[in-house]
Amino acid sequence: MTAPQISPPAACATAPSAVAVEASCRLPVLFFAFSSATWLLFGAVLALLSSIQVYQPAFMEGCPWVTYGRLRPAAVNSLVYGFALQASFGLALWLIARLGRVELTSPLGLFIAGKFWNLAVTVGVIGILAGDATGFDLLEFPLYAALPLFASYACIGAWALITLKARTERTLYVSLWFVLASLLWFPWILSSAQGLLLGWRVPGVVQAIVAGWFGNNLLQVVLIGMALAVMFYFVPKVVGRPLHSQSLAQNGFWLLLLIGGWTGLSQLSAVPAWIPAVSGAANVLLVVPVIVLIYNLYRTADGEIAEAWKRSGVFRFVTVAAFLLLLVTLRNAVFGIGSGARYTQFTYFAGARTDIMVLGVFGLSALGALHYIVPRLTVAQDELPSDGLVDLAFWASIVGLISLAIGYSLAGLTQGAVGATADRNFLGEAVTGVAGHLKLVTFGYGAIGVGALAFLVNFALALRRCCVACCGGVR
Amino acid sequence: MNHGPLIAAGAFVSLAFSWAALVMAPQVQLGSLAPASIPNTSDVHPANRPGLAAQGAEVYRSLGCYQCHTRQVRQDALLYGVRLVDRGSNASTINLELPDSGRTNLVNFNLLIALAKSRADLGITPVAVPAVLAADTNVAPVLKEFATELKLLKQFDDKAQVVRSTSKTVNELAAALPVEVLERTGPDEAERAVKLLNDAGGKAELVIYNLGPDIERGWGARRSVARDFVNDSPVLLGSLRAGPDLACLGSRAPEKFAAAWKFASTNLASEMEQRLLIHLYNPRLVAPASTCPSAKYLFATKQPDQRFAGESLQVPGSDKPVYPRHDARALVAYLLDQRLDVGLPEAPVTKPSGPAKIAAAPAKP
Amino acid sequence: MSKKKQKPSPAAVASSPQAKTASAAESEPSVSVASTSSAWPFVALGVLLFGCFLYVENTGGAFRADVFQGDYKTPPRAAAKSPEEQLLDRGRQVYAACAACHQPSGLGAPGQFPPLAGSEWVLHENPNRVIRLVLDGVGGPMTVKGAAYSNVMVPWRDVLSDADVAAVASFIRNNADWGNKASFVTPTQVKAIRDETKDRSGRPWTADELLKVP
Repeated sequence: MTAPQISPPAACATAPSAVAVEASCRLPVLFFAFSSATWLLFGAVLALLSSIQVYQPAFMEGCPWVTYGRLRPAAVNSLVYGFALQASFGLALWLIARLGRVELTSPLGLFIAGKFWNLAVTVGVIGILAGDATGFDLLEFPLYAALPLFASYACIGAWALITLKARTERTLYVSLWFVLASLLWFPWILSSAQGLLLGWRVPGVVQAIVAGWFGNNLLQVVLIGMALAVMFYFVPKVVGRPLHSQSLAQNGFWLLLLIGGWTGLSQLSAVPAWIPAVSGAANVLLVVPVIVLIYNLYRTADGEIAEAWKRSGVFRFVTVAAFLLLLVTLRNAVFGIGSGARYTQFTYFAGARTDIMVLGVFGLSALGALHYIVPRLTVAQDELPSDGLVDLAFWASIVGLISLAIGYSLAGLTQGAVGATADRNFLGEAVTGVAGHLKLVTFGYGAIGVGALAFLVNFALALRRCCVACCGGVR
Repeated sequence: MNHGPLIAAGAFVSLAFSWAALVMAPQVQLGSLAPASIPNTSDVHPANRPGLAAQGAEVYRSLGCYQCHTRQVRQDALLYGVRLVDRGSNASTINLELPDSGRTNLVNFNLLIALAKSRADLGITPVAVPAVLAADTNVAPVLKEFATELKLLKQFDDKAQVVRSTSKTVNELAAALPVEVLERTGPDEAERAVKLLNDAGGKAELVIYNLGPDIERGWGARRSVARDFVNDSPVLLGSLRAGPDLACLGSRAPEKFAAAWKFASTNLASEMEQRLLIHLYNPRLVAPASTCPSAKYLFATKQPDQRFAGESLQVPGSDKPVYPRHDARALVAYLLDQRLDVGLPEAPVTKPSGPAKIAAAPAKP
Repeated sequence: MSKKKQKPSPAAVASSPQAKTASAAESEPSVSVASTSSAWPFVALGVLLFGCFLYVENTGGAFRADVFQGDYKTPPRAAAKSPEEQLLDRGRQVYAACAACHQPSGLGAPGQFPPLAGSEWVLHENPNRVIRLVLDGVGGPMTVKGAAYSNVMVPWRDVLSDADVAAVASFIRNNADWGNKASFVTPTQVKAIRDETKDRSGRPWTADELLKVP
């Protein structure tokens, strides 16, 4: 993509006007944005409740529907399928429409498919609470929810790809590479994993390996890819400079795809030694593409960072998300291989990777992007109605994430220390002894919930103002 | 990079690599894994779960127990040793061999004593040491000690006199066969010592040391391996230890439970079942520090109107008995079915030596 | 968020939300033309890749399915089975056919099928008789362990190979559970006798004939 990338609208006869593009996005993108934020709030509340149960076992005791073993997967799956993936659909559609200068194909169809997606997630979460979870991490939805989920995704993905094909701006900007890879990656891994686990039923620990492979790909490529698409879109845009390097972006992109699918199995124990070894090595190798990509963004914004931080809300979100991505990748490289992996194996430390990736790297990117997109699609303005709520959403999310990461990490390291010596009292030190750290986690989920709520209220205010504008103040 | 199909194809190839390596290859390697037959018996491991335990697996999955409990025992090292089970009476020549120079240590010294003891005809006279070995500076000090030891043997044999070797008295060595004469060494060295002792007319066997904190805690006699799970579907390995590992709950030694479990070690199986049922009803009754949520909903307060409702359960601190529902009994059956005490080719274990530690004689009233 | 943002008057918004979309005029991000490709990602990747190969080499257990920790060494296998043990294993399988009459216990059935455990016919110092007996069967009166039998044993000449006959003969002569211990039988011995007696094929021996065999 080179200098005169924006041809004057007149020169491109078929290119729709920016207004028409936005109009086509309005219904589906706002729908995905609103429902994903709702799921974020809902998931954070479930996660908050389940995190209390870990040190207060009497909390909500006595009802199988809300026992920890069901509440926790319900929370994680709400966050992943309700919030993260749904937000990524909204972002993908918006990025395709904007960068491809094309109207969305079938906005109404996308909206209906989105409704079905939400229905499937709801059924799935209820299924988990009812005790029908499959038992595989990040694939807990029972088959009767997983199939409609896949079907509605098939529609969303297909329309997104059709839109991309119909784009009038033929140059594919970096963000669209990531969007395209994410959109394709998700159905591939989902069908492969569901087919092998719920259909063919591979035997023995192969099940755990396949589930681990799926979960890792979902986090490391689908969600991180979408987060990178957002970062690569907003950093140059806010700073007002072209992206530093095309070749670095290409290298980073392909290396991420090549290596990203191999990480994430380093914490399995009852599998042949080569599997955690290879996966641990991939954890280290992944540092290269992540540094390449983030360095590219850094060079793009270099010198303007402080100024952009003050000026733009989305830049703040995206910067913190990029920093978190670097951090979580380095953390994985150190604690995902060899004795580091062994030390943190089976602890909260290793488990926190999912939370940091979904709520941190992806969550912050998505929330930032939605703070940019939503006001444009509702009130046709740069910013959401309430500045205070925007600040609240940002700071609550950041504080929440930091508490979450620190709480889980400290708890995990304590567990690791106890687990490494048989002399230490497991129950006293590794279970009840980490209650203090886990209270920090509870606070973290609470803060993230507050952030989501702040965004939702702001969203509602914008919608209300939009209604007032459209309908002449009926309400 | 402006062609969508090109990027799509590249992405597909990238994913195909990781799929081939981490999905297909494990399936090819482990897909045909079958239960292993246990030598000298007609049993296999893992055995098919009995019906009640199979139903319990569903309860375990449905309640999400795997969210807090792993079923994967880890292991740090696998070492070998030699156990002398019979000193034998064979008078055939013994070739007193010392380990390669430089590797001599007190552990091997133990072996030498055992060698001497394993030869009845050797008696207690010092062994003639080959000149070439006596000249070896690495070996000489040990040989000297060995000679002293043998003299002491001559002096004090069968009188309860303590002669220090590594940690055992010579009398123990002599009297308490089987005795481990070589501890924590590599497979080759151990194999050689077994051959040596057997050639000397004694009878020796390999001992396997499975080492690691999990195993020391009593969470399993050995590590968990893929074969342990061939009968499971779904395979609930667990990834977080918010509670103890459950891989061998059914074969765990009673003293390896928290003290509060308070086993009377009589009729272990039924007592384990009782403890687990009470634990499900209210974990704090069995382990006060436990953070496991109670599963009271698996119990009825009134006699259920079922033909096979089972017995009532007397809960400590309560006058009224409760009645475990079918799911509670199934879950307990599943937990007691978790065994990790059987050796496999890829994860060997040694049968415990000497008399069984727990005399599981049922208490007769 | 910037505090200097101006709140648009409701009227301005109300006029037409689509008339002047704030983002409509914004330019989309582009890529700098000045950028050149750089080699450092690949240098870094190469260095790490080398380290990773070493790591997987050391801890990956040579990609074997039965190695679950990197420093695992193949345990000393029970010594490979001796030819005698292999013969006994084979014989145990072949014996399944014999067990129908002679019973798994080797005790036979009193008055009908003679015992093999402790039988002087089986344990004879020389296996020549038992090989003949298995090949062509035996019929008529016969005394085993002091008891008389007169049943007919079917010939196995066409059913069992030399190796099978040797295996089953070795098995019954060396079954420790029965207390039997005698010399092993080799397939060569069986082949010699099979060739020597091939014209008999199918005609069972009598006890007297067999007793003449050394």
